[in-house]
Amino acid sequence: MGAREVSVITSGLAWLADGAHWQGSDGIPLRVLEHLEITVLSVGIAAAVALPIGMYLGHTGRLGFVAVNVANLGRAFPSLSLLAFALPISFALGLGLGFWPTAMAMVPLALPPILTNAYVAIRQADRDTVEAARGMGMRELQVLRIVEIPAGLPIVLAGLRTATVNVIATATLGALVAGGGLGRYIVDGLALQDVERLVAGAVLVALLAMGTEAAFGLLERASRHTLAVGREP
Amino acid sequence: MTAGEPLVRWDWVAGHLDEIALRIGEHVELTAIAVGVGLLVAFALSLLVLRYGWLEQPTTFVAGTLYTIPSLALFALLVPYTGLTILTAEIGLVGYTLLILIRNIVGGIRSVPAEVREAALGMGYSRGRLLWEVELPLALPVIVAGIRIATITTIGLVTVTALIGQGGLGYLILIGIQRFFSTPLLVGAVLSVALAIAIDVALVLTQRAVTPWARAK
Amino acid sequence: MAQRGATVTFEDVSKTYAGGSAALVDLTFTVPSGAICALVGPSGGGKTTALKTVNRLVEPTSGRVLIDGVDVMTVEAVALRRRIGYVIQHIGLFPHRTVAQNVATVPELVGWPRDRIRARVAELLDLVGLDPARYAWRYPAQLSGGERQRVGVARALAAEPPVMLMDEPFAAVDPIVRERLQDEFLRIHERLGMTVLFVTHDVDEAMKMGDAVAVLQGGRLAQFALPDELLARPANDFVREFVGLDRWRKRVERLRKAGLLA
Repeated sequence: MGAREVSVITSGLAWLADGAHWQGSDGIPLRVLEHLEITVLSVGIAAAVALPIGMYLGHTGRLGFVAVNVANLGRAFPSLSLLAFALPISFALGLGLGFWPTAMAMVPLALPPILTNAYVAIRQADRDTVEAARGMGMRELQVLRIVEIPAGLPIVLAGLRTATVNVIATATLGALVAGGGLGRYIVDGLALQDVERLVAGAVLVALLAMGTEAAFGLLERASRHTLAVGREP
Repeated sequence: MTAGEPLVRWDWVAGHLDEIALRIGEHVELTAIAVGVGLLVAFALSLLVLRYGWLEQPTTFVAGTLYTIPSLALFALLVPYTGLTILTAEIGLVGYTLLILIRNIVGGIRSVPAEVREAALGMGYSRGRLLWEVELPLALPVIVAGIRIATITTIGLVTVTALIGQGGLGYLILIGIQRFFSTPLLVGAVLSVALAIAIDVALVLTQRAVTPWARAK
Repeated sequence: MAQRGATVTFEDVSKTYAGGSAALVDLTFTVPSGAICALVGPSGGGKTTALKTVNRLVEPTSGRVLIDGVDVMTVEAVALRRRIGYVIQHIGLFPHRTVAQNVATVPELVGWPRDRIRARVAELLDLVGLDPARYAWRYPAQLSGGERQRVGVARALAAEPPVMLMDEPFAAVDPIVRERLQDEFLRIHERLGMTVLFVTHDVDEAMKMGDAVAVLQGGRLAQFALPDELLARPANDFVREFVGLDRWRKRVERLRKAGLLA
């Protein structure tokens, strides 16, 4: 790499090291928090909807084809289009630009992997164990809670992981519609030709995404050692 | 988006048909280049991984890391190096296809049943012909599945490249956002979804066509 | 359809793997041209390894394997294998090729003219009892286990090899089908006369099919003899037990008791 390229990275890192960038309404902590706000809200809503539905479908075995392919379909949806669709809706609801259309757009992004994984997780529980549990006199919900969910926990967590990392990555686009979060640095950097800010923003998002991957990875590994009744995924 | 404005102004659409067609063309072109180059690179890397097993870990790590970097960030990071050019867009787009393509090419070839490989070698197939005449045809369904996912994902990512000066349907979305004008916004969004679905269907049909033995039961 | 067989000779063949485990130790015996030699022994005893040294899927650490006096290591591996028929337990038919294309594999690799291949495929399918008109265009997924086995045998015979190697070829089918396949294979062998080495863990199959039987234990040759001789004069306790002489004796006893034997 030439001198210019190296200096780009170091200046980006220097931007991060600059104390001034850690304060104020455009400061790093605030932006990170905004980013996490959007992520947690949208993933939370998506999970609240997708987990019960996915688990119900997995438990009963209904609509399998749909449940399994939802994740593929979801992946096909261009994320910028999601944001585009969310804008008019947000305006119609009187919620304007920025936070709300971004959060709204992220929900359908997070939904598919959570749904598909919840379905697969419950479905792959050892059928013999499930039948034994029913035979013992457990009610359906108890079978779900005691047998199927613990066995499928790693897969459910993997779905949440995919959803969260996708949202972290895509929420950067929110900055295009006057949103906050770490995307702000990237978009502003592009607009103002401020390369250091742009690099800093990119690095921060990448770090946040990778950190989340790692954290979820640990959670998944831990869940494999819990009361895992049934086949290892 | 402003009160009273209809969501889609069809007169605008009618008047901008050639612009829309142009953007679709750009979008398809960017996607085709990315998947084409990605396939070549992934194929070469896959052959290396299959030959030298120790390469698998580092290759998966690099491709996986690339994939994790948010697209906007990746493109943005490339801009200082290669400018607001099509090269920047393609480097990023190709990078994103690598993980899924390598995983499916390697996985597909590995899923060829052991006894088929043993019988072929025992009968006197050379390694090269074994790959081309036995392993690749049998791995084709998995490989095409990977190409499908890579292509669909790329179509989505191409919309983002509008932000670094490339065209495609993302351009329409962008001007919609910038001008507070819902028509191009929705036209761009709907068309990119439609394009993704259309190409997905086409690839599924292609996959069925090249694997006649999978249908004979 | 006369087809010569070739003599297969093992000359002090040994195979030791990197970790130090010895799969074959000083294996020496000769299979005469046109004979069927059954390789039997407990699992891990080296019989499959020995089989694979003939077509160089395994290369000996010391010693030589000779086909008609020529050391297999002096012939280019791929060319060697195209001249040896190879049938394994799960056959390994190419799922993406039709029955006809499967059978035509080696002739195509070797470069026969189209017409000759087509004629040969029809001839072979007939030989193994599959009507070409009905089977040529089917895919392996559409065949039963017994049918696949037959296609596997046809495929191995396609290029008129003087030597045929078979590794538990009939183990994956049920006993009724197995018996039929065994009889038919013996009939085919009568007509073609190639040398056959086949591995089996089924002693009865070895006795029935083999002109000669090689008993391998721990990588060493325990005995190499005609089936009758194995029964009459087992070389050691292991062979005796393996061949099940006690079993035979008990059966004779029972028959005698039932007054069916003098």
